[in-house]
Amino acid sequence: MSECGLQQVYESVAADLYAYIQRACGHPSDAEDVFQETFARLLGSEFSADREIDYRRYLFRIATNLMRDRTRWSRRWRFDQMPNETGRPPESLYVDGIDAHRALSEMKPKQRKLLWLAYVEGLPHKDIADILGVASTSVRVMLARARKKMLTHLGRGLR
Amino acid sequence: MSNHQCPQHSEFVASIRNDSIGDDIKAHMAGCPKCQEVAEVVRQLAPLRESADDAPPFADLYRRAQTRSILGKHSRRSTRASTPLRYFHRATGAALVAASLLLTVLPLILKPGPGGLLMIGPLLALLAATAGGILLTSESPGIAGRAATADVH
Repeated sequence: MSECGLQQVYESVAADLYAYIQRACGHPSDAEDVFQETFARLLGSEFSADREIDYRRYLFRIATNLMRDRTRWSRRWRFDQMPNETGRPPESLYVDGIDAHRALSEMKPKQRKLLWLAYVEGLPHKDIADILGVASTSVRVMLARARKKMLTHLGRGLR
Repeated sequence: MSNHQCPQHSEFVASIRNDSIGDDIKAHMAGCPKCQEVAEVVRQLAPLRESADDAPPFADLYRRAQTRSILGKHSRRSTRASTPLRYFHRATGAALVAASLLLTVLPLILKPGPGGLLMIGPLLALLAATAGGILLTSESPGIAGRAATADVH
């Protein structure tokens, strides 16, 4: 892929992709690495598409896989259990004290990704299934669970 | 019915985010707990999207991606360059193991007398088998291999 082609893809996808990675990653320091790696993979791949949406799906899928790999790796080495220097999560994890952020960060990584792809990106279930590598039919059930969990975390469960 | 699973899902989500829901959907939502749930989650997540940091600039990203791509190519070339050495390495190991078997069997076939020259056969066989085993199980192409691939880095 040429520099010009990559720049076009970057301009149309970067902001949404970076926001997704930041929120789904859980570790802000990892977000930039994952973002960088995602575009590096695109540059090194043979992937080519006519439509912007195809690049978008491709990049979101790569980023999701990279985040999954990182989660497995950190779980294996138990880095996610280690406190930082102040013993608290970094301040940047909280966005102006918005409860939603805390609720989201307390959820499982897959649920975070699901909610973001469905309710921020507004992607159809088929695309979400493709990006997350799950069956299309299970997205609906998984989303319902994730919604309930988020609302429970927020103390706003609907009856 | 739950609108969030219909083909207009994206529009539904966007309309909640922009607070531009039509009257018909508002009326539907009033009696649909699922849609209320979706609307609540969309409203909660919207500020998180707005407050996300800016993506790293394209120039940095492209430079790093290019560097990675070049390093990846070098790594692949290095692997390709060392392939013949690895095969040679394994072939040598296999030859030594075969020679050790031959040296073990040969004295028995030739029926040597006591103290004959062929008594050194088992000792050579042991040495050859050890060397062959080491070569077969080791993955490294050795000093020669590293020297041969050093120029591609």
